[in-house]
Amino acid sequence: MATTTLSHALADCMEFLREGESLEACLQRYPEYQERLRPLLEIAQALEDRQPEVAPSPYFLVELKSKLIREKHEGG
Amino acid sequence: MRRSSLQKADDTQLIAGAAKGDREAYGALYERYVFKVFRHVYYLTSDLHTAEDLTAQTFLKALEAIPRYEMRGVPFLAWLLRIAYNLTVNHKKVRANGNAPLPETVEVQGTLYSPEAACEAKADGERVWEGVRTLRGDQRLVIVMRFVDGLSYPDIAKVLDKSIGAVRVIQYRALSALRRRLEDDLGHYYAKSRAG
Repeated sequence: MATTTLSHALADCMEFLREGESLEACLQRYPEYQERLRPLLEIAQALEDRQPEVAPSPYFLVELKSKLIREKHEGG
Repeated sequence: MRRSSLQKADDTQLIAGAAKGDREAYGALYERYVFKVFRHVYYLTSDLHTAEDLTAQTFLKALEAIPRYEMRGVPFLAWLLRIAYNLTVNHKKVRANGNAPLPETVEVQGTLYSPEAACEAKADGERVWEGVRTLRGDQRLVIVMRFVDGLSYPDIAKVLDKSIGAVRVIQYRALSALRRRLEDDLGHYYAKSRAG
């Protein structure tokens, strides 16, 4: 039951953070869970802000598109 | 459809065209979603070549299945990611290689103000995402779908065939596990510093 309530509060706070609310303002909404939510929200912010950039190679992109169009053409 | 109108067309029009065999419409869908599918698979496999291979398989499989796609079900991206996820699970069963480290060449997004801040931010970012790679399967998947793919809770729930509440609980447990791992890492780091 506690996990369900906390998980709901966490999801709520994450939405408010995405909408631009500050961490402190989010925590004010759930004062009884502040201590438990704060470190989780800090990690959520790090996950949001610090994503490693990755991309497929240009060669792969062109080759795959060509294959898909060819296969669709041959199949259809 | 001409290229300019393909770019403006919404998913519904493109899917309808692709389902009828319009290869250019499917090409437009591919261009719209290939980076998202690739990123999703990469974050689950941690390997660029495997991610390219599974991305290709995803689009080939989706090409066969698109006539059966139902517009009123999950959004098209979530449908593609479900295919990608199933292929990734099968791949992992074969390779049993789910905890590979981050590649050395990754770059970290964010505004960096100094070389020191850049190093610190990069280290923090890599540490937290390395932690994600050690999470158990469903936790890792929910984190990737939420933070990398940007899916809503209802869409994640549809992809995983779980309730929204269950998805939130998995997310809560994933972030709690990450917190414990990061605290352990920092504990080891400080112990090492004191010893040195």
